[in-house]
Amino acid sequence: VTRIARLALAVSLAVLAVHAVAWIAGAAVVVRTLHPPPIQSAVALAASALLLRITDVTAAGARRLAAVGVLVAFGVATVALPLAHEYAGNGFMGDGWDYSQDRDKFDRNAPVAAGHAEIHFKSHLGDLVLATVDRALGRTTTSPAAAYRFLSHLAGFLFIVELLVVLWLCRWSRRACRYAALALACPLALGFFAYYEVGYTAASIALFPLLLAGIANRERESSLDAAGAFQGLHTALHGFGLLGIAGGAAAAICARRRPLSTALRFGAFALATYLGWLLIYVVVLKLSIVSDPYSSNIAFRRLTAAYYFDRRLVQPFLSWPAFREIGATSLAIGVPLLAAGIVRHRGGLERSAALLCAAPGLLFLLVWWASAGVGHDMDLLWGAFAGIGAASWLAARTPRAAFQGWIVLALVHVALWAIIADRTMDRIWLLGHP
Amino acid sequence: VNSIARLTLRRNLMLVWHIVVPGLALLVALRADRRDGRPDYVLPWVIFAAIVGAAWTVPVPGRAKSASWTIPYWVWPWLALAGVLLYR
Repeated sequence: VTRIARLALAVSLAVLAVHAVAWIAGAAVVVRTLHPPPIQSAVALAASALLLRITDVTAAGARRLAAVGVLVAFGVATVALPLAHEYAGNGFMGDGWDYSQDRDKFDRNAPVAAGHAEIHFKSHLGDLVLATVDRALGRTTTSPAAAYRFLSHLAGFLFIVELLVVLWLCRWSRRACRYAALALACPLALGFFAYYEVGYTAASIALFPLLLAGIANRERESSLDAAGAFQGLHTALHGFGLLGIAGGAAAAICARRRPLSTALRFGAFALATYLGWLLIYVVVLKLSIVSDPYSSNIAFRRLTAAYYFDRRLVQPFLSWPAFREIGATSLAIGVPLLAAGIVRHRGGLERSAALLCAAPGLLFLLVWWASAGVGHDMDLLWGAFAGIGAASWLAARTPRAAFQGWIVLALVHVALWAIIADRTMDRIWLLGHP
Repeated sequence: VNSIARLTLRRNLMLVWHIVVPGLALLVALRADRRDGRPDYVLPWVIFAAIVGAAWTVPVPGRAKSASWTIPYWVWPWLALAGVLLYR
């Protein structure tokens, strides 16, 4: 197992290095289309900064109150300040916005909303939430949009609950409070400002701290179980959470005692909360589980050859356009925070676990071709990067590192909106190609 | 008296350098864009810098001041100006 872990670490480092090289190409996009980030980014960064500062200067009781207060205020802000569906004239919310405006498309995406006894496997729980809210609101012309807003705020509520669980299990330590602060500044948190998509719900912010507590100390197996259960729940909301499950299982290999059984235990809990819902769908709700066309329409980059996929050109991995997309993606989802943590952190177990936790997502982001383009598939890109929690945990180890991490995240926000504003990476549908 | 005058002069100069210079530059950029009919990006940059800057500079009551990391207030007007100039 030790040899396997070492090999996995070497591969993960190589993957991270490829991301770092691609930042050069991504930075060219950012510099060209720099735009002022919207107020939602400012609020997330400000809440993060405030909690970071309060954490450093207050005693335990005040720190607990401040952390809860800032998290509640952040939750209120996500409801009060919804994102506009366009930024710099660019509609960036993928298909979700289309579905919310078109009853027919919404019903095709979530057939159970239209009364059909079937549900798509890809994001079964996410779709069920959308359909339930839509039906509860009477299937009006505006109810699909309300359903997407509800899902976003539900995910935001889950995000805050998970942070509170981490804070409670870590006994409101300064490090846990700094972690919560940095988590608010992660680009993933923008999804909770009424982002009309489902993909970002795949990432669990509690995954890494709970997993780490479980693998560092065998007496805290319940933390490991909770990490698996949370990640499984997020995978039920959207299937990209499988990358988080794979990352969690890989990180569990670093456990000091019985690594294989630790990884299997984590996987078992994750799969239970991911797939346990199917029993309820079939037995209680009498629904059939079907595979929708979207879940099989995933394209991967080839090494040197370009090809057409669904009338769009997929550039090969070894090409400038592909590197530009990988670099832009990597900058926009916060991979630089992970790289900074890996380079500056010296703790063996934490660093290894963080790298392995992020590795499946990082590798996936190298080979996966975002079908709607980087700017339009941002929810899926956030969801695929399960290592954002690991990166935040590494950055939270000291006040100085957390401050530097916050600066990195502020730059990530600036890069994110520049990339969303960019039109050069948009997909072009070609007529006459299969 | 001389030392008080020097201190006042120094403070005023700092105020000019920290706030007035970037503020005037931002106003000039805002006016030029409105005249040319370009989309407004000066105010969004100022709002972004002001909200984030306030979080780093608002007084936080606490005991262990040595552990507190803050960013000087004058960074934010210049950050807003840098954003505006880079965008142009």
